[in-house]
Amino acid sequence: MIILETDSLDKSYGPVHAVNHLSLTVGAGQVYGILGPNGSGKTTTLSMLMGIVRPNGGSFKWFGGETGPEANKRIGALIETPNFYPYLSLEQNLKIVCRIKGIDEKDIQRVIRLVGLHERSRSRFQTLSLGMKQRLALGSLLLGDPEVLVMDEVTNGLDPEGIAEVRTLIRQVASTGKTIILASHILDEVEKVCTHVVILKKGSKLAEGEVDSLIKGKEVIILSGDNLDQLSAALSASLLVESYTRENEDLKVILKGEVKTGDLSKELMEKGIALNRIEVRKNRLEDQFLELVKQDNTLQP
Amino acid sequence: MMKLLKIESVKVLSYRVFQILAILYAGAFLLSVSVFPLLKLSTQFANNQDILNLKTWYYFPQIWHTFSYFAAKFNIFLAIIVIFLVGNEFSYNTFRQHVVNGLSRNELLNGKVLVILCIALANTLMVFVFGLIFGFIYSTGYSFQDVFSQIYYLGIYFVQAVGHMIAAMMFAVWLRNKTLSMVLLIIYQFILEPIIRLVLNKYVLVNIGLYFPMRIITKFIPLPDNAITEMFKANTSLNDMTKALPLWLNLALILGYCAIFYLVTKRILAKRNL
Repeated sequence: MIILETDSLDKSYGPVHAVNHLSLTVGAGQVYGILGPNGSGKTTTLSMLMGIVRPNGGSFKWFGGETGPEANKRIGALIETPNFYPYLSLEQNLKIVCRIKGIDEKDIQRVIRLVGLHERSRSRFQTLSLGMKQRLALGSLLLGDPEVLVMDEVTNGLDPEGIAEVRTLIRQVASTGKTIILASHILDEVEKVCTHVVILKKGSKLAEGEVDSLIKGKEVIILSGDNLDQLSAALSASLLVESYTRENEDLKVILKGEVKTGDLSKELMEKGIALNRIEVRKNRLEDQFLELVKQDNTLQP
Repeated sequence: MMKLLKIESVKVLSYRVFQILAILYAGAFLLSVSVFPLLKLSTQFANNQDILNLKTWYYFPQIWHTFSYFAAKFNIFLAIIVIFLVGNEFSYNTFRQHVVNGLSRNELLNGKVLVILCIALANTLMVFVFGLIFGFIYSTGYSFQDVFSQIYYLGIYFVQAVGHMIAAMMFAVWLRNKTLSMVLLIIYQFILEPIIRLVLNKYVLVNIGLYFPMRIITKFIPLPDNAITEMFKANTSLNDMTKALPLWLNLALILGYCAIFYLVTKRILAKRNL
């Protein structure tokens, strides 16, 4: 079942093309990451999906056809910062959310406990620390146990323990079959919790797919030796190598299709080049990401 | 509608600024109406009377006219309350959050209109209660019919209060900033529009100023008739205070302005990114 479908969604702020004809599909039960550097259009995209920013073009559908307030009531969403009334208590703030969404107010105690704020439930929102505010926003997100969660930079402002807790929470929620859409500029986060990912840059889609298949892409081999110039020359000449880059004292090598690491090692030995280090590394999302962004840069004048 | 009211009630009732301004409003009104009957103005303008007795303002049924007139003078407090309530939604980003949570933009607006109607209703009730109390204190020899015969002035007061607050709401939604909205509303109400009216009255058409929104909202009801009013009427520089359009025309105009302000606000909210 498709939870969300966007068709050529487009938004400009004056000369800035924030989101460029973006088409996405999110299926039920996916943990869908929207990954991109700052200013790549993640928040704008989510804002359009939640109805707070008007798109210039394109369209989107939640749950196969709904848009607007009725769809939003079925979604728990946090965009950018936690937004609450500073002079109201945590309970009062959540009461407002319950009344908007038509949720039983009994659920307030459950979520406040879930995010560990039960001791502060009668404090005013303005007395909370940044991390606690973020937790309350998470609690608010989970009110009424919505089918879909939308989160934007959800671990911002949390301490390492808080970040770990939030990630555990996301995985827990995901394991119950809910759909989660998560925007982040932290690759590690996306890699750890997401099943699917789209990579954005300057509002355009660079890549989209399963996190596993993106990560399981080509292997990267890290080589180092005493004579890097000689090693480089050998790699350039080799028919086994697809590409390589030099990083400080290391060379990062990507092999062609079916070539094995051993084949390269053997070839270098035959040429009489000794290696200090040979390490096979999975091509992690980060590399993939940087690679994609780099490729895109070369296209631009 | 009940849903919107329940949502708004949580926000409004616990808001300190609301509590303080509401008390200030009631206090300022009570103080001003308490003072007049105690004043004994001796004046050289009124030939026949040595002392102007302001107590006649407090006799049934004229008291409804008097109290509605004075209560309307303090409606700027109500307008400022509304600017705070609406401005907060922008500064706390809560309008935005409400839409994310599943309210429509029209519901945002209608929630505020409901708050405005409730505040206006509460204040009309306050004026009613004070009117009864002061009326019974100062009136002598009245019949039951006298007590309530001009009670429709309270309805006029209600419409004025609503108009003033809807205008304030429009400023707050347009500017999205409490301070700026407040300053601009005050400048418009007390300086800009009066000057425009004055100029137009003088150079374009006599009494055209009476059709302007703030003139109607703040001075729908002319000064209650009294020896002082007679004096003002005779004095050309002061007689603006005693002028007003016919009641039905004023009512039609103020309702028209309310509708315009509401629709403008609705349009701004619908088109904007939150």
